[in-house]
Amino acid sequence: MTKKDATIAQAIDESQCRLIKDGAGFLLGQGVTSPWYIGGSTKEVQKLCSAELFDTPISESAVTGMALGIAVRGKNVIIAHPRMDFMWYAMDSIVNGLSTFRSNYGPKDLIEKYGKIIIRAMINRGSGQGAQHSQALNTVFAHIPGLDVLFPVTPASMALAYRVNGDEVAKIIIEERNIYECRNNDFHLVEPLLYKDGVGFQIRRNLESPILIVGSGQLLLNLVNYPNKNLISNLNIIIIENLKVSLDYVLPYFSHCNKIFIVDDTWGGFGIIKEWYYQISCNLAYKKSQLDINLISLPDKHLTSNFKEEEDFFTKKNLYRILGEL
Amino acid sequence: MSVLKSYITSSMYQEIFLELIDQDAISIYESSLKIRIAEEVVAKWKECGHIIGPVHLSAGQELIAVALSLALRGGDKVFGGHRSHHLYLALTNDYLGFFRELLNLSSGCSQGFGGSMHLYGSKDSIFAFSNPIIANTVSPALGYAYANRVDKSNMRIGCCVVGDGAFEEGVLHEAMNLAVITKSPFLLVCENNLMASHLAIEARRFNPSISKIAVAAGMNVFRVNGNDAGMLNIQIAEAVEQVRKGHPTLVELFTYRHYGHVDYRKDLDVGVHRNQDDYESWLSKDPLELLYNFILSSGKMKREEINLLKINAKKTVIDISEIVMRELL
Repeated sequence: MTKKDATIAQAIDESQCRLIKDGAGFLLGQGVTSPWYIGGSTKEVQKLCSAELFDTPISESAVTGMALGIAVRGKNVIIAHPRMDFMWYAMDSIVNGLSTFRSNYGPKDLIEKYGKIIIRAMINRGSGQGAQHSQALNTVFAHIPGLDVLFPVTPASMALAYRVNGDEVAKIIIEERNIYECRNNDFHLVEPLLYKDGVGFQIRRNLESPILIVGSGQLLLNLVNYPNKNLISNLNIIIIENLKVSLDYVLPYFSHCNKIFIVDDTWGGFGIIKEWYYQISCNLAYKKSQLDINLISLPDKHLTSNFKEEEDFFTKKNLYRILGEL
Repeated sequence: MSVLKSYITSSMYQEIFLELIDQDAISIYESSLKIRIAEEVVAKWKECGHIIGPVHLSAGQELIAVALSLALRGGDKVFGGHRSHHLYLALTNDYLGFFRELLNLSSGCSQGFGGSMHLYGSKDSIFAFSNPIIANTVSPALGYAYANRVDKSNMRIGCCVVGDGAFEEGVLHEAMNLAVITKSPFLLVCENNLMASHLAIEARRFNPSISKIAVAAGMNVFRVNGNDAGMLNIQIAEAVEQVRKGHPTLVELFTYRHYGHVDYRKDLDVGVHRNQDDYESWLSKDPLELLYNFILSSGKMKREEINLLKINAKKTVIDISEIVMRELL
């Protein structure tokens, strides 16, 4: 198990070590042998598994495609993508190679037969990263059938994400670099709610409050850091850590809520936030007339490298404004 | 047209058969013939509408698959593309699972999910799987090779078979570089049939000599007449030996597909530089006919013996296809 006081980066590191040792596996990607390139998330791996590390050239498509062949050999494999915008190059391998696998060859027990495939997809935004490095492709990945897409936000759930078997041949684990140094204790406001023994949600329930905040990723950090702790502890919160799991699973716990804020740090247009809006609307349709649902997401445009604009761009500011009004 | 003509009439296409031992020539002929007959069955099924999805027939390229089946061994894995019938049949000998898959029966090799383009070999088979996205299986083949590179005493080969069109996809270039810098036992086989879909190679490339690209990447390179059974088997065996020593290798095999890009038609009307004259010229280089004549002229078999072999091979394949058709009906 991951140490109780481990950071998210350390949880990733320990989980990778375990996966590599258990399955005689491999870690491939840019910067995996660097002490800093991917947020120090490979320090322990580097001590234990030098022969299994491959600090690759920038060949995202081929490196990602290699995962399938390594898994066919029966070995576990982790592919690290330090920049999510560069993952567009890997989409052929992810979509045409990995996500279609079961549809192409039948729903055999492939996961048991092959090694595990984990793709680390890192969001590396902030500090003037501009239109490229600020991208978060959560909606894109969630839209594609045949992939498990997880976005763990605590060290404990990150460790779980590596440990449990998913439903599909490959698992994409989205990482928000901004929360790498967070520890479990930072998130004492919420508790995990597992889905089928896997990663599901982090929730906080307050039956006295009709206000529910739903979202994923950095939302949790934003809430934790909100200056008015009393307000946060009085809210209902759902942090979605498995982007493919239907909200039907969790919403019954929050049937007392009617003022709902859906928050997502990705583009809102045609995005996953609309999917969540739809699911919440359907689930709570019986009290439609009383429902007040609000969406908070990124504007439908690319970020520039202008630092001042960047501060205004992300959802944190809007979220805090609304929390202030509450 | 002139570029293509000069290219295909170069020394690569001198029909020279090296001496094969009796059993090699005959068994290669028999295996290749069975694949040809299976492809003719598939063409008929497609024309009759029994097969719904697209089929990319490999008639004309059978010798290549048979040569790979002789050179590779258990533990090696071959990953194919859209035109992989011959590879599956040569490497698995599973005609029943193949025909069933083509008709999308649940007893097919991919449980009826994949059809012609997504063939799936069993865990112990040398054939891994095929994926029709051009060059998509290059990197899985490399991944398989990469995972095996540390076991020097038992280097298992990851092999990908592509067409010449794959050299116009970026991932192939990434993979060749990765293979070389990691010294992975990676074998890249290019069936250069001079066409990618409907486009002839000189309409697609400034320099049709694709092997030079692999040389630049640091790969070992073999260029072989893919219609010459003798040279083909010797060169592929040599390439496999090199790969097993940790030298990633490209084998470029010059060949020609008898059918068009997709289904039972010949593509004499839609292709660039695929006209009746070219087509007939290539049929005269049919590798099976050349091998048949070689076996006959070398006295390895009498005419009546080899004709009996043909009849038996045809009966074997047709019988299996009829069993499967009865299952469908």
